[in-house]
Amino acid sequence: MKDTTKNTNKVLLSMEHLNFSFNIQRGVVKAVRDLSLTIREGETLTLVGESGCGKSVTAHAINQLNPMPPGEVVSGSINFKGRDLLTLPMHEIEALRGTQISMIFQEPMTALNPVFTIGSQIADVFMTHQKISKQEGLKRAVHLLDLVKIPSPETRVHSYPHQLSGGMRQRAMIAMALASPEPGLMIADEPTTALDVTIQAQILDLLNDLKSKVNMSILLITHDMGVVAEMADRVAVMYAGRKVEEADVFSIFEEPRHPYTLGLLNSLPSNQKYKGARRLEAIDGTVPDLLTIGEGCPFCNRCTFALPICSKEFPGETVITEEHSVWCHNHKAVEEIIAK
Amino acid sequence: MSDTKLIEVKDLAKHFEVRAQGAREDKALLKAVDGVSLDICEGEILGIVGESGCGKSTLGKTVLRLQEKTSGQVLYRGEDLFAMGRVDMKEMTKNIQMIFQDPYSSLNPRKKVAQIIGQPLRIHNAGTPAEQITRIDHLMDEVGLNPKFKRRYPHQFSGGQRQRIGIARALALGPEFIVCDEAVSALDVSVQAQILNLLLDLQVRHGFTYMFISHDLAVVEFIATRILVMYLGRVVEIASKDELVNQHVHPYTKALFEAFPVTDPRARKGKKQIVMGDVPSPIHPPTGCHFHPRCPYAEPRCREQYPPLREISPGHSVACWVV
Repeated sequence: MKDTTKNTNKVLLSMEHLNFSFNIQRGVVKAVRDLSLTIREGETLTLVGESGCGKSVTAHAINQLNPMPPGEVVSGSINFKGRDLLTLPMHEIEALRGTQISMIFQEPMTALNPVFTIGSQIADVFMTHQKISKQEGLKRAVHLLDLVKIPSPETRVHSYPHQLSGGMRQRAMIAMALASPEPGLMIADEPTTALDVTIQAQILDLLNDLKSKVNMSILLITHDMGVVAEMADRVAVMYAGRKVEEADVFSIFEEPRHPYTLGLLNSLPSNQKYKGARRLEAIDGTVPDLLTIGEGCPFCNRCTFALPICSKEFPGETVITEEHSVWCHNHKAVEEIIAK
Repeated sequence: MSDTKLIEVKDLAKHFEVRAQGAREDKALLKAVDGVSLDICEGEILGIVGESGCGKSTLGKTVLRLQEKTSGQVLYRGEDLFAMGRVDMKEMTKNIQMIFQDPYSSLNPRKKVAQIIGQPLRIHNAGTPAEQITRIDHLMDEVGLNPKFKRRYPHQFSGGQRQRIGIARALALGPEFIVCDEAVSALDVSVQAQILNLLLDLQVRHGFTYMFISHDLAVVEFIATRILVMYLGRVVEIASKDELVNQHVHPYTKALFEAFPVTDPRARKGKKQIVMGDVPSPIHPPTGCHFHPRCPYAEPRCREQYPPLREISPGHSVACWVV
């Protein structure tokens, strides 16, 4: 078993108090509020939450793929290897994107260019960032396709995206993300959501395998607690733009302290406690509208543990262990439930 | 649950003509459903699992005669659906209904909720207009929607609420048999749990029989009483829920269960055996057993002949030469 509490590796990326909004016609959507994250070298941090919780916006804020405008960084900083990404000029961000921060997307068919072969798309990454010829780039592409376990890479390098299956395309995209000379951070935005379960298992296995081969950190974004359980070292749970709980993967599953994390786990039909049961403990209600959301805890209208104060102010951080923090006024009540 | 057979599917096939990929052939045949036989008893929830392209949605639609079959039979209480004329078939749709996957595209965006839920009532002239309005209020109430929202349009609702609208529409005529085609797959997990509870509550209250189609093993394992596994248009294994979950024998069923992520981080330690390769194209499926190229136990005859579905213990059938 991995020892997740020992991680004393250097901090690769630290996000401090990021506030990200979208100014749209109907008002201001506060997509991410006061979010702080750290990613250490060689670890997998997963951001988990339901649609609209701000997990993709967070990831896209790192390599600045959010459309701006309407997007706007209201405040905060993102430090990557000692530099604040949010103040860097665009050409330096572009230089980082293919070299130290790479990204894989959910839908490989739309993320890959349909009119170029995958080999030339991978070679492009090399040619843009390093002074090498197309031929040398293609040679390295073959090597990368081999690394991501695509069979007969010498011929596949000349294939177009539509000639590959969904799982293969996702492998090709991972190969492209590895084309950087010094892999630092790989951002994986729902990398297996569009894939079948047997293919998902292959891709997750590949990512874990690669992580140990090349020294990289993964920021994995997912809505699937199963993927979290398979992949994460640490987990940050987000709800309606806020981080509500952060911990090592074991604490999240075994000792959740936030009512939303508990509700999320109880909503899973695969939860062990539902063996033979005919009813799930669902979370009532729906996610609040980010346009009209107040200053209180965003979860308070669905929370069975809510106190009067919850609708007025967002709670501060409560440190439970060194690795485990929760943002909840009434986390003691959750602790009592778990203890039973 | 009783032993009365509500639905009997006999050797059902649905083939589609598709444009061939190669230039040499004009047309190719996609055998989406290829000789499926099954029974569904009253009050049962039959879960159908399989990966994309295995034919599970086509099976669901063909069983309801939302599309014509290629061959085979579907019997509802002994009556052949495909032998019915237009008038009888319209009458039949009162008994058999469907809940669709995508709550965004399965509701007409130009119609108000009351019109969407009331449409089946109008089509079948069920009651006076005043009675229909009471019925709509009652249906909305039953699926957990506030009837005062009935003059709103679908886009004014969240995904989970839209799925409730779709369920209310399916309930309108008081059906007995409902096909749920990936009914909770597009929803967030907390909303998914609400809808699963609703479907189970409704089943208890009205004694529905469900055919529950999903790619999500955890959901099917939770809701179903019997589970059928499909691969490339054919049934590979069928058994009661407990037997299928604990004693599945088909290599593909094993692969599915192995691949499905377990929501327990301590369970990942034991490195699983992952089935390699992709699902082959259903247009030119492999000869013999369709799973043999990916199967770790494949024998020579698996390449030549498709194994028949045979019963290995009461209620548990499997199509495999090796087991």
